Amino acid sequence: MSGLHRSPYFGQSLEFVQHREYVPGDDTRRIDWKLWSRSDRYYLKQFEEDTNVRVMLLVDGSESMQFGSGEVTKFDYAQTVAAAMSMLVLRQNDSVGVSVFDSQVRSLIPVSSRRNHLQAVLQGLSVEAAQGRTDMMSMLHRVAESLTHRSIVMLISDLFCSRDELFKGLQLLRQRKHEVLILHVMDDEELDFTYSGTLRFEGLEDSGKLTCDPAALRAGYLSAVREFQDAIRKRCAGSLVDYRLVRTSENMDAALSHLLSQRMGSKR
Amino acid sequence: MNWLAQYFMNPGFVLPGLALASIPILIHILSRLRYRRVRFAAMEFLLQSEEMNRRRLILEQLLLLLLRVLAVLLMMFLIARFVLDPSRLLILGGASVHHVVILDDTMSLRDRTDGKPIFDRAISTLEQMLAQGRENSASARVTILKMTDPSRPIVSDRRLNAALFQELSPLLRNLKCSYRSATPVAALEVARDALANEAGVTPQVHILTDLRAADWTGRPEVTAALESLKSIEAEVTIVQLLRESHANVAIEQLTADSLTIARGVPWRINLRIRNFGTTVAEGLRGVIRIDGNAIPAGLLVPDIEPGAVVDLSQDLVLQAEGRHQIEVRLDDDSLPEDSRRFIAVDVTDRRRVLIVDDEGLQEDAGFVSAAISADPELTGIVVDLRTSQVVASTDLSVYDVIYLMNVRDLPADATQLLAEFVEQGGGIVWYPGDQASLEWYNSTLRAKETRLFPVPLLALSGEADSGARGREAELEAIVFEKHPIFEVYNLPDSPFDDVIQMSRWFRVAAEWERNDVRRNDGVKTLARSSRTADPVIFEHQSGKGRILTFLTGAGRRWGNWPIAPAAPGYVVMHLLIHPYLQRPSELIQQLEIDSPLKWQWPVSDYQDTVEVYLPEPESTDDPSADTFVRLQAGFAESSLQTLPRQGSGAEPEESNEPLYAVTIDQADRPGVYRVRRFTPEGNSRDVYLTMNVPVTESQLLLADPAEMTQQGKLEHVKVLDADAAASLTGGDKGRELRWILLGLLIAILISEQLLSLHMSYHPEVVK
Repeated sequence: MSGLHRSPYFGQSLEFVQHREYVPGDDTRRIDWKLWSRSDRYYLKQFEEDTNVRVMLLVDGSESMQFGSGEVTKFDYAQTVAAAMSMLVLRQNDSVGVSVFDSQVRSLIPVSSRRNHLQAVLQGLSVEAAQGRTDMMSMLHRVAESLTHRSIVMLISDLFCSRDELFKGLQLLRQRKHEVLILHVMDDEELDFTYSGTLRFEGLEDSGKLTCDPAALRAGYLSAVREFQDAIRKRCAGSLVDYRLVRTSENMDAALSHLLSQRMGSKR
Repeated sequence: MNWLAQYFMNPGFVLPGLALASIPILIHILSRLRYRRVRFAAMEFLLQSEEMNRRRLILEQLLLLLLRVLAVLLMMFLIARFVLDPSRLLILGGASVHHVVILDDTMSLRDRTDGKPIFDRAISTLEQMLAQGRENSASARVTILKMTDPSRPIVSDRRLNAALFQELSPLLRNLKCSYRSATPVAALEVARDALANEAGVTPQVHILTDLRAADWTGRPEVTAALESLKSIEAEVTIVQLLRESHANVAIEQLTADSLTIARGVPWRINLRIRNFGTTVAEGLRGVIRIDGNAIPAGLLVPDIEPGAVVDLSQDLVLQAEGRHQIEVRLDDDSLPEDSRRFIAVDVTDRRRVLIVDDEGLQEDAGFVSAAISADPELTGIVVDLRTSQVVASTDLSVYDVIYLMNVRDLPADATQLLAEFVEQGGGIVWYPGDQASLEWYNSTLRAKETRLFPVPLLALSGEADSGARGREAELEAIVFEKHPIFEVYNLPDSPFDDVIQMSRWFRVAAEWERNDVRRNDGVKTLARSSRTADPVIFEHQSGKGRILTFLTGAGRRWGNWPIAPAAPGYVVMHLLIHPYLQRPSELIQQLEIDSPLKWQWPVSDYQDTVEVYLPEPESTDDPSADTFVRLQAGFAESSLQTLPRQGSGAEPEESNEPLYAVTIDQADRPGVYRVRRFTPEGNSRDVYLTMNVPVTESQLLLADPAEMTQQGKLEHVKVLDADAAASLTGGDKGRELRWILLGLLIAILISEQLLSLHMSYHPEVVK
């Protein structure tokens, strides 16, 4: 057995899943003849296929990920989540690869399930502080090109990039039959915006500057953030992409546990 | 800075306040310059929010800034006491305030508190009010009235400004409280007339008074006058200058039976002293001064219960002929002016009485003469005994009283002289006697133009009654009414009236109405017979003189009155008749200080020059006051067709003769004034005027302000004490503005807080 991960595809294995009525074109070898003898109707037996799961972790390493109002930046959080996920995948004898990117690929560890692969993954994650702008489209395009087998692609990012480019890239992955998960990492201040007093905001990734009384802009800001989240969530749902928003203040084990249980639930 | 004083009571705060108003702007600018840098990832949304809210934010920030600047400015306005001049603000209709100030200068304001008259407090309060009024408003107008003389305002409808204040200050400081009494009604009516029909003017009436109960409560006419001010929408502020009533003892009356007496004869003065306080007046002492010199024997005054009166008499003996002034003075209290009173007296060598008796023996006249002039040194009266034949040729004016006894009739000229004698104040006593001509008595003497005899005579008792003819006349006693000449008979259990036996008397015509009230002809019945109730003694008046008529005899032919045991009462009665009937002296007049004294006389009597010798001023009065003034009389107004022949107060007589008239304004303080006029021949003639303070001002009990304002519809009347009133004169508009400013400040502060709350972030408290 090459992996313990439960495959989302039905195949030939020992673990029966369900019966399905026969339709022309189905493989006749899968007809349950015992059931035919009792019911005089054709049913196919479906079994869960155990496969070697391939997980590709894409970690956003752009400058915007360097923001953090607390002790942890979004990039720190993303690195830790990716490391934890890698360890989980490798422990299940599945394969995992990781890539840190901004406008270009800053590190790429190919998918592998070797026992000492975790060390390589961690080394790949431990790149310098985030910098540069996010070039999501080219990154996703490159990943889609490089993954030859169906894989699970997990994007860990704050998604501060062009939404159209993002979803074009995601669409490409989906066309290549890859399963896509997005772990949307945001800081508390980005979500709650509790600043007060006169502040001069200097945007990361050269996104502009603004001197203002943040309290006066809070309502409009939060409204814009909600619109952004809603748009992402809707388009993800439309593209059959799993989406999960996490705060950097959220406990990581809880976040991962929630993500995995949600995912298992959706596949059953 | 001066121009700021027009708008602010504390202009010194204005410029610092304006500087402070810039602080919110500076804080805003500084806060924009001093910021914290934050590197932020989600700028996209922040910029999006900023773009969406930019205009709103600018407006909100400007509004917040404006509110903060306004709040500082309003605080400055409040501290600097901003006063809005209504004339410069169209929203208030361009109205100005017309203050009519009524200054109570009646004598009760001389009441002292802390050693100073309340009137001084009234003046200082008025000055403060004017000073503040001048600062508060440039459009205020002011009229100042004295309560005792409202028709002559101190200031009439003048703009209240610095010039007027400068002009008024010395005037007010030299103002003296009067000795007069006055009701507020006249002043209130003048105030109402001054304020009525003034469009666009806010009418305000301020009354500076001691608020005595006697003036302000239980007086419907005062309530009505106050109510009438409501009809012109005037606000009335009564400034009560005194908070607690003071005790007061006053001499209410100082009188004498006669003001023309003979020298060396005891002369009785009568005093009535009232305690107006609420505690017993104890240990009072008094002093009597004759021509300024105190007599050794002081005046002993018993303790007087609250509200009670004490009547005292004192006999004085004046040895020197001429006119004398008598002053009675009690110990000073809080209102010493009413603790002194004056009287003047004319002392001659002897007083003269004429007795005319046509009975042959003149026995009746002898009894009367013996009664009133047994010893001229004791009674001061000299009697001239005559018959009626000489009446026409006698100068009757030298006599105080004329007795006419047993006169059958008199020639017309004598009758005319008698009529004139009575008309001018002389007294007559009639004893008709048995030879009287009833026709002459009933027609000539009772004629309308003479009115010398009071009743129509019928006949002597016994003659009219045929049944009684031939029988011995029955004796009757006399029942006396209460009267000053019957003092001895009016005494309780008097031994003298029962012993009088009257055997004959004239009966009055049957058709003559016996009841004085129903008859109402001015004739008073003073005595009646005891059994038949026949009226036997009468009194009536003709002109200024009095006439007593006895229908019984003065001698012993018709009774036992002049002989023992009735003689003592007879003597006393005739001694009392003299002062009662005595011609009042034209040279002495007793007056109460009231409105300015006006005199007028025919131009043929005296010249137009009048010299007035004023009483010595009291130490509390102005020491520089004049003691002598010479006045020039002018012609009286043509409307005055009547005049007193000599002096004032006389019954006027018809005359077309031009009159001289003079007003003695200086006769405004208590004391004895000597007024000298000159006959056309150049001879001087003096009249003594005794001026005393009005007793109505002595009751110092204060009104209860609450009770006063509850009378009638007096919602527009408020009573304040002097301290509170001093900050009031700016007018209600100014005061209202303070409240408006305060309200505005509160509203602005609340708005600022709400806007700040709206513009700032406040995390929700999680319960």
